Amino acid sequence: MPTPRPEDARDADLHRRLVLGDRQAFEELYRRYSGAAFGLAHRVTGHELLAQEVVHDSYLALWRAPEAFDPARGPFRTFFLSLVHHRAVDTVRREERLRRRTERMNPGPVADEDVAEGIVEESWLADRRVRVRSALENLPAEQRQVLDMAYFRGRTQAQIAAELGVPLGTVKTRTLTAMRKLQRMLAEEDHE
Amino acid sequence: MTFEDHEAIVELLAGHALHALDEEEAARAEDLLASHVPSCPQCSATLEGFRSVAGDLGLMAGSRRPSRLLGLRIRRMTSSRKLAVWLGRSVGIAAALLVGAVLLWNLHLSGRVNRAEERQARTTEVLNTVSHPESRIVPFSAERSELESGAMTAAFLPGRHFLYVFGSLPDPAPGRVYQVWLSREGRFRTAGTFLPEAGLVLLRLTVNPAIYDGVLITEEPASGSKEPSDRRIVTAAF
Repeated sequence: MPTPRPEDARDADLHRRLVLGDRQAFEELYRRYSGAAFGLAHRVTGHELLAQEVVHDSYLALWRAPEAFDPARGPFRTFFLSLVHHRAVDTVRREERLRRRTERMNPGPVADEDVAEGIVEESWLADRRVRVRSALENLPAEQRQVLDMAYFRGRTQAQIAAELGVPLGTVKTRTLTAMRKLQRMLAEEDHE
Repeated sequence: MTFEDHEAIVELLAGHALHALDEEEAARAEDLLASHVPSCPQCSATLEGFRSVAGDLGLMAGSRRPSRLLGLRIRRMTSSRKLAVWLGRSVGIAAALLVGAVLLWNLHLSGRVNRAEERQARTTEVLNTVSHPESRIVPFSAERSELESGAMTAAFLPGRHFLYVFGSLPDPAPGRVYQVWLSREGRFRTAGTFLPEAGLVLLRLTVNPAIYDGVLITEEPASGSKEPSDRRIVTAAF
């Protein structure tokens, strides 16, 4: 197993303290990831208030059951953003079901009258984003497309196949190939 | 298992990590997560890798400052987690007495041997689940006259992919085991077999409880069965 990066080791330490109920550790994890979490939730839901609920519920889940994260299974960052992503996608699908049922239009993003919190993203997170973007840019366009539709638009693979007019097997193959390539490229970056 | 079988599983795991499977395939993935993946180092490592990629993909959305109000709401909730509160619920206390006293983790599902050092963590996990304000606590009903209803309990948190089954059961007949079944619209799928330890049971099933409508425990031959027999022990309906 590779040596954890300093920022991942820091997260692991914060998590250990969080399990013991340390509010300061929770506060620091909020400061470190609330921007990324809110950015992701907003991108997936496309809605300010829904995104807020997703982030709120994600941090609530973390606070109430911090042991859901197992440090042996990877960095805290990827665990938490996956948690946010799943909740955001569930929210989108629930809203879509509701919208279909009530046959009303999505009211669209609501402007938040509250002022934004002064959280400044740390440089290591921005660095990681650059690495992920670089890896994504190395994927063929059709593989990027299925990842984008699945991940950021909350589509199932069956929905993607229908929207693109390609067999479901093609979507699955593109997804798997893309995930394997990304895994390999990001792992290589981690070992550099 | 052939190479093609593994490729099909890995394909499913990729969709699972992206949360991009429809309901039916998600159920299949859950089956694999409970049965095959824990005992397959290759699939286990692949899944972890995919989960890591999925987490990192989240960074591509860019950072966005949350509102100050959201920060206040989130920080306020951290003052509400007090031991007295979450142990104050009667079910929580019962579970704490049960699992806290014995530190038991007798999960033998899929032949996976659990390490002793995991037991403490898992016990805490169960306690947190049963004492969570949003948890669903479902008592089992006894199907045999010699058993008491309520001797076994199922618990889960909506949105979490774990189902806990705990309580007390006598040893099954010699050469037999207990088998856990998850039911969905009248169909059953196995979640594994187990034996109580000193009469006590504490299981964690890696499944999405939302897609099932109940749990059944039966007594079966030591090798387990493909379908539940009529030797029903306890049932719980979600």
